[in-house]
Amino acid sequence: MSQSSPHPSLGFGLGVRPTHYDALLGERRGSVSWLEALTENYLLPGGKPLHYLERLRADYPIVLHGVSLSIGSTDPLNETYLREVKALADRVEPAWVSDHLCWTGVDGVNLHDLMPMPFTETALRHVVSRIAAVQERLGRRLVLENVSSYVSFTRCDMTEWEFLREIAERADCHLLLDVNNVYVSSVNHGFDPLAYLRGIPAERVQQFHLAGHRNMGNYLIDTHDEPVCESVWRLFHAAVERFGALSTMIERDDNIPELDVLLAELDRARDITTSAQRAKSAA
Amino acid sequence: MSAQLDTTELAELQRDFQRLVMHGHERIVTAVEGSPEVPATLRLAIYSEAYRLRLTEALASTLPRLQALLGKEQFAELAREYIDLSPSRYPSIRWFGDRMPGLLCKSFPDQPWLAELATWEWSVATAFDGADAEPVGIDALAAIAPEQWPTLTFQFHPTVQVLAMRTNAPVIFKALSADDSPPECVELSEAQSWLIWREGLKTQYRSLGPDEVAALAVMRDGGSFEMLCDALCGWHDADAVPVQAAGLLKRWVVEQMIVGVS
Repeated sequence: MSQSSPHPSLGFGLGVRPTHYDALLGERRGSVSWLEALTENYLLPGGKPLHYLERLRADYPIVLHGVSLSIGSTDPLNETYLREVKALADRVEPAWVSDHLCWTGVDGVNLHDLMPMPFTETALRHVVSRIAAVQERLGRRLVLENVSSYVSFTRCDMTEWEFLREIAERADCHLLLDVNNVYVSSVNHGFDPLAYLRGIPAERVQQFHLAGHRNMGNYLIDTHDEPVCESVWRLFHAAVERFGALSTMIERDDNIPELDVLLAELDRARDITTSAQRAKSAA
Repeated sequence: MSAQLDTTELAELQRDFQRLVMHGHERIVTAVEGSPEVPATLRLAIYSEAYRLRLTEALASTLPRLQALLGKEQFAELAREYIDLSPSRYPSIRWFGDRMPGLLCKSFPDQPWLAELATWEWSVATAFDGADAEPVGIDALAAIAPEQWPTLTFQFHPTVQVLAMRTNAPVIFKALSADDSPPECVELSEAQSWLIWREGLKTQYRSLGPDEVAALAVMRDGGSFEMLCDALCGWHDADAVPVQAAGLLKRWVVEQMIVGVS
């Protein structure tokens, strides 16, 4: 398995979407330092998607980000899926492979959504044992992301950040801190997002996600169809102060603008990172 | 600490949650925290609504011409029925619509072009991201010694598919792909065969005459050039058959459908 400390920062990147393939390979080549590709979109026999992924890989470091690992499910691990992810990772040689700390279905069904875990000791031990199995199958350390959630369960033994910390430490995996998800969940569940950041072990965090959400009045929905909002930028500043300048990227899955619009948004992430680092060294 | 972790309770919680998302069964509600502003039922509804929305969008993205032909409203109704009948079992949402032609056959027996359009769209998509293989060049044919020809067999690109259509679904597909108004949907007096394959990265299709259908059936089954000639005898004079056979092979090679000669 790879080193136990997180991968050195790749800098500022984007989630790669087909609409930006040509720009990233052509007139905007090198405009980002790295790309995050959605694993499942490339679990294909061949054709255009894999052709483009390989061309992009020749120009950029790539990270594979999955949505169907279902690490928290009580179903058995999907061994076929794991073999396919391993084969894709062997082909693409990503800097790392990530997925979400959630479950996506039981009894063989895939709901294609990131369902929340109850933060219990049983769930914790269940997930830890499955991470060990996945890390063994993939032959690499897993990076797990905190998800946005709209419900919490009445039976919980700990907070979400305690759950994440225990998972990372007991399973010896790394964390992808989605700053937007922390913010969305903090509003939906009424917790202090800064307490969340303080509860996450800094040495385990490998990557930041930034994204937009939708304000529904009394709650927020994680939609990835809007620019990053001011509250999330502020929380990102705090995250950089706490965790340092890590690999940072913006996810946009719907209402996808021109690449230049996302590049401008990424410039804002760069500026905030610089200012947060300055604030940290001044403190 | 027991060696075997008892996850029965966790499994039951996930099953209840899934039943709510898929079928609206509310047993999970008591296990969920609510707040005065956002009660538990509303919180759970976010998941069940997102589930239907996401899967409907996935179907619309893999079957966009079917959606265009049916109209958004009727397509959404069809999607609702499909989502209830055929929950996804795939890691990738790309494959979620695979059983749509079956549902259309059952639900619209008097509009057979709908099921065929779905079959056609699905097959074209399968060629789009189907397996890669290096096509052989025309030089490969030229280099073959005359005495070798009778026993030669040819390997076809993995994306090659032959579909017999009883309606004008491929023509409807073509019009809708170009954002044109589709022609009137019709059932044909006899089935028309079509070929779908990928040439490099470009998905291609064309109609087939009965002689080429027979030729492809023999050759894709591992038949020799001699068997190809035999198959063509039903359509062409014996004298013209070798030229016809060589012509077909040349066309398949030029169209990048042949990936091996042995």
